[in-house]
Amino acid sequence: MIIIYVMVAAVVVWSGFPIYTTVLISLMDTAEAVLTPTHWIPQQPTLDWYGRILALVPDATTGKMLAYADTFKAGFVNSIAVACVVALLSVVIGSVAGYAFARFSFRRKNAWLISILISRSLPAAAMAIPFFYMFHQAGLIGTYQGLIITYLSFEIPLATWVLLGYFANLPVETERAGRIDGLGRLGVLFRVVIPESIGGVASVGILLFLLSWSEFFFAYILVTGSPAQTVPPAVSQLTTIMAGLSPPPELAASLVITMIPALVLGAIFQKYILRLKIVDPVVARAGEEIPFA
Amino acid sequence: MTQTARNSGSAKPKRGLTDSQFALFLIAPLVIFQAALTVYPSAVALWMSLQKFNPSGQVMRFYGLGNYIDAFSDPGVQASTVISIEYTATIVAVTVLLGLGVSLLLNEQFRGRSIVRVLVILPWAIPEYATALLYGNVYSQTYGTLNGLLMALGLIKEYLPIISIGTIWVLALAYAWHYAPLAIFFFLGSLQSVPEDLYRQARVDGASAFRRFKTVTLPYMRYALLIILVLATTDALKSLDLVWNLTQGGPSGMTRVLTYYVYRATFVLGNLGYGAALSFILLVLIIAVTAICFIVLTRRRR
Repeated sequence: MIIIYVMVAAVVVWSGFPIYTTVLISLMDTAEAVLTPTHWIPQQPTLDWYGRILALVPDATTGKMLAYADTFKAGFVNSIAVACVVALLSVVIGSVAGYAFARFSFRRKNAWLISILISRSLPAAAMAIPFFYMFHQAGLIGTYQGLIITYLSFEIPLATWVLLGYFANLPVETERAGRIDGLGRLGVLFRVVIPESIGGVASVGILLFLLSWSEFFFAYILVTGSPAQTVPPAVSQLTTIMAGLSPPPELAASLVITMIPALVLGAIFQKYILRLKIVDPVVARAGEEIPFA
Repeated sequence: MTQTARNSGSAKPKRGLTDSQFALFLIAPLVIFQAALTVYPSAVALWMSLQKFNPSGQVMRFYGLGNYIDAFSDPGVQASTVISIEYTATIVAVTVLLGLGVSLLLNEQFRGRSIVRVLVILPWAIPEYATALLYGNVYSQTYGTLNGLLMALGLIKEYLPIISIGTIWVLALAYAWHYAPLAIFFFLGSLQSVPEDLYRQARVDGASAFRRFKTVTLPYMRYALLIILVLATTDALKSLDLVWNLTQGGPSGMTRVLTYYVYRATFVLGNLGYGAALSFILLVLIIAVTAICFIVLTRRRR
C-alpha cells in the first residue's frame, strides 16, 4: 500500500511540476524568480505581475502602464472573437452535414467521409504554406478573415465527424413522429432534431472554441504583430528563447491567465476532449471497440 | 458509426427531393468549404512545389521536380529526418510506457483516486505551445526548476544547460508530458472493461502478477495500445509548436525536426517552393506511417 502511495506521489509530481513551477514564478518579483537555488515557496508572494499584465496597476519603476498589457488585452479580445466565429460556423455546417451522414444513405457516402478524415491528418506546417501564399496575394495577412478561414479548414471536418457520431446515437422515434405530424424533412431537422440536441451541439462548440484558443502556429504565421493578433503569439513573444529579455514572472503570469480557460473547460469537458482524438482515419473504426473511462 | 445510420422518414419520395438528394443538399455547404479550404490550397501547394521562388515570395520560373530533387540531396533534410525519428520514437516509447504504468496504478484502489485521475489528465488541456513555455521555466539554465530540484536532491553542484545537454530527448519528454494523459485515458478505459472474474480465476490458478497482466489484461488493451501507437506517432511527426517555442531548432540545429525544417525553409529563408515540396515529402511520410498502422490494425481485427 505504501508503495502505491509513493508511486502516486511520483506521478502527481511529474504531472504537476511544470504547472507548479510556472504558478510559483508568476507569484514572485523578478529578482526572486531568477535566484538560485530555487525558492519553492515565494518569500513575498505578490500578484503584482498579474496586475501589470491586466493593466490594473502601473509598473513600479516607470510609473506607467505596461505596454504589453495592451497587446495582451487585444489578443484576448481577438482570440475570443475568432474562436467564437469559427466555432459557430463549424457547428452549423457540421451539424447539418453530420445529420445527413447519420440518417441518410447516398452515393459515395464513404468517399465523402474518408475525405473529411484525410483533411484531419494534414500537418499545420504543410497547410500554412499555401494559406500564407494565397493570403499574401489576396492581402489577407494580418486579418481576422485569414485566420478564420484557416481555422475553418480543420474545424468544419472535425465538427462534422463528431456530430455525425452524436446524431447516429440519437433515437429516431421523435423524428418519425414529426414526419407523421406532417413536418417535412427540413422541418424535422429544425423543429425536432436541433432543439432536441442543442446541449450536445453546444458542447462540441465549446471544444472547437478551445481548439482555436490553443492554436499557435497559423496565428504566428498569419497575424503576429498585426491588430488581429491572438493570445498564443502574444504570449509566445515573451519567451526568453527569442531576442526579448522580458522578466520570467511576466511570461509566467500571462501563461497562467491564458491557461485558465483551457484548464477549466478542459476539466469539465475532459471526456469529450479526449474522445475527439478518435477523429482520425485509422482509429475511427477501431475506436468504437473501446469503452471510455 | 455509419452502420447505425437509419432512414428517418418514409422510404418513398414525397414531393420534391428524394432522401439522397436531400442528404446531398445538407452536405453541400460542407463539400463547398472542403473544396475551397482543403482541396484548393492543396492544389496551390502542389503548384508551388513545382516553381522556383525568390526570397521575397514571388514566383521566378517553373522548376519542375527540381525542388524535390534538391530535397533528396539536402544534408539538412537528412539530419532533420534522423532528429524527427529520434523525437518520435522517444515520444511514442515514453507515452506508451508511462501510459501503461500510470493507468495500471490508477486502476488500483486508493484514497483520493478520483482527484489524482483529474490531475494526471490535466496536462492534456494545456496547448502544445504553452507546454513549451512551461518547460522553458523548467529547463532554463539561469532559473530552471529542474536544475533547482536536481540541486536540492544533491545530484548537481551548479545549474546546467539542460537543453544543450539533452537536446531533442528533453524536448520529447516535454511533449510526452503533454501527450501521455491521452494514453492514460484510453488505457484506463480498456482496463475497466476487463471482467473481474478473469482476474479472480487467474489468481486462483496461481498466475504471477506479470502473467496475469500478459494473459488477462493485455488482450483487452490491444486496440487501445494500437490507437495510441498510431496517434502518438503521427502527432509527434506533425508536432512543431513545441520545438518552435522552446528552442527554435537550436542549439546549432540539434533540435531541428522535419516540421521545423519545413517552417524554416519557407518562412525564415523565404524559399516557398522548396518548403512546399518538403511539406509534400513530410505528408507522404505521415501517410505511409498511417497506412502501415492501418494495415496492422485491420489485419488484427480479422
